[in-house]
Amino acid sequence: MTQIRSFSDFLIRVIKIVAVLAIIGGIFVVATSFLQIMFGMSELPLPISPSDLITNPSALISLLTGLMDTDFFRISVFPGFTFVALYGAIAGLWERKLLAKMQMRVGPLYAGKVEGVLQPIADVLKLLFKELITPKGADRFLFGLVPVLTVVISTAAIAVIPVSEHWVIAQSDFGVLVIFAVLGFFPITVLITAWSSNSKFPFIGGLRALHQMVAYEIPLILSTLVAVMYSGSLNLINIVNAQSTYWFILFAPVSAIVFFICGLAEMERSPYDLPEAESELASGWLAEYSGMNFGLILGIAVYIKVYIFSALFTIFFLGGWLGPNFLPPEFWFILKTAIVTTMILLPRGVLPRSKIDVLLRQGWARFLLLAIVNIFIAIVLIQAGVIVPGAV
Amino acid sequence: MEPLVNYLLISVALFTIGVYGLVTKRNALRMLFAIEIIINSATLNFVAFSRFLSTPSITGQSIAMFAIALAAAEAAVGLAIILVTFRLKNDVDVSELKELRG
Amino acid sequence: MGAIDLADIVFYILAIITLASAILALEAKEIVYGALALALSLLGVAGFFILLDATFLAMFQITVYVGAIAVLIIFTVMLVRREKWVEKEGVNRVAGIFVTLLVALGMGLVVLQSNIGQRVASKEAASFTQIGVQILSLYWPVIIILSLVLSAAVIGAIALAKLDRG
Repeated sequence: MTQIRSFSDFLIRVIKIVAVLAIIGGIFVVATSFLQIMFGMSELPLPISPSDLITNPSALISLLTGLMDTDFFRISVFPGFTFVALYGAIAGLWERKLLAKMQMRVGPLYAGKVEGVLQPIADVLKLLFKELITPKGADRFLFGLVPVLTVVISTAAIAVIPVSEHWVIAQSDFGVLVIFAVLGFFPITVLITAWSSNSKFPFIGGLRALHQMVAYEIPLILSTLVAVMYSGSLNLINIVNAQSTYWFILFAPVSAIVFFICGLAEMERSPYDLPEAESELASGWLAEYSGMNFGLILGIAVYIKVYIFSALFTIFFLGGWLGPNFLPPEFWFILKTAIVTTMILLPRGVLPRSKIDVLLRQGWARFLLLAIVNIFIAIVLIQAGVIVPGAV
Repeated sequence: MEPLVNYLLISVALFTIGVYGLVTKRNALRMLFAIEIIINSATLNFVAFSRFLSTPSITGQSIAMFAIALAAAEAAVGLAIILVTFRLKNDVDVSELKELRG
Repeated sequence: MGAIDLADIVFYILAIITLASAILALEAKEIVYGALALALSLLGVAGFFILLDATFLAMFQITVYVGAIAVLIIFTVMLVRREKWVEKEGVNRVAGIFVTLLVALGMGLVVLQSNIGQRVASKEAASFTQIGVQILSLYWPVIIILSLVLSAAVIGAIALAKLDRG
């Protein structure tokens, strides 16, 4: 294949692919019309017959809206995988540009004519073409399994996150518990990643990551308990609907802060990114992963986690998709999630890294106490009748 | 909904596998796995019965919750003991722990 | 039998996964694989809870067992692992199989020959909010004792495993 050396090469490649697909589609349409005429079949078992498509294009719209209501569309496109992956890619680019501007640099500039907007595509293409190296003596089965497992588990958590009341993949009466059940899988994946590399640096990095994740899971769960108490339900949609007068962040600011910081620790972002400390442990528990293995774990799964925590923060504390009516609720949700994502990405350019013992002590002692403090405040407010569970 | 007997047979099968592991194995960690499997089989039994009563009852699930929490405590202490034994004797074979034998 | 529907297929697949993983957890040569198989078996039991309309308990099981206990077990297994572990054969094996068959036959016959098969499931399961009601009203001593037991377990585990540094 010819190499892609510039944007016009890329464009020509895309045009070729689209042309091939159009030709195949055209052949399909002509062939089925032929079959219809020749064999006198009244209709093919298709929702809309291809010859109809040419004469009556507006029937396509009802077909598309019908398709958009199916579960498959939800899982793969809108609140599901494609949306989250695109969000992750844009978040990656935004992070690099944001940090660069904060540090008076320019960030990615060359991929794409305008300020490097095609950088995520360039990164993915580079990673796809690199060689996948498996260290000698590493456990092949687990080594190859873990990147896929990390992405799968990260994506599984978005099954209960609603983008608006209508757009949710699976509405569940215990959405909060499902999220925490899935989040409990991350320490296992880190541990297997660390162990299957069969080398010292990743193993130590993996143990540190494990300790950090396990320490910060409990304050995370306790801080969401306040939102559950105020809304009286574990269903994420009910939690958002209970914030229709006031957002929960007004009544649970301490919990919001604890949730945010514990989320930073769970996602292993600064200032808690000791496990993947680039300058210290030679990139920690991921050191032996190269090529697309690395791209899957560090690229996709991390940014999916960023989306999950931003979306959860919006749902629990910022009122989800509720907003003035002149714009659709999905827009408000994405706007709020983007703001929270920016706040998550910022500390990387600002704060220094915490040491591991400081980190663990803060997790077990300080944040646990803070989360419990806000639970007491919540109990006092509910008993005093200021807040009625169910509608704030 | 499967008949109750199927769930009970699964519970019996898990219990049997657990007992086999506990009797046959000499590695302390394998015995711990066997204990966890036994506890899970009992929990499954409780939950299956709580579903199949004539008036809906949730008692089986509460008991199952307590059992799971206690299993967590027991696993933690058991693993601590195994770690200490490994540090002292560099081996987790339970038939090598003979100091108290008369 | 009548029509085999999706619930039946799921039940059989879950049964195979759970039992096979439990056997693998005990028989795998590499003990880390055994620990991972144990986690898979626990997930299978959580799946059974979902089939029994106890979804709250299934999420609880996944969070506690797979998210915490399995992690603890895998972590300890990695630290304690040695390259070659030879499980010596012996009298124990024969006795083990004998005891196992005895237990299996005994319990299996009791289950199959009783009237338990006649029980039919009630129309709907109880709602999971009653668990909270029961814990706080009927089983409150259990919660208090459970918290004391867990505290004792945590303190004991830390005291045991702590290294005495000079």
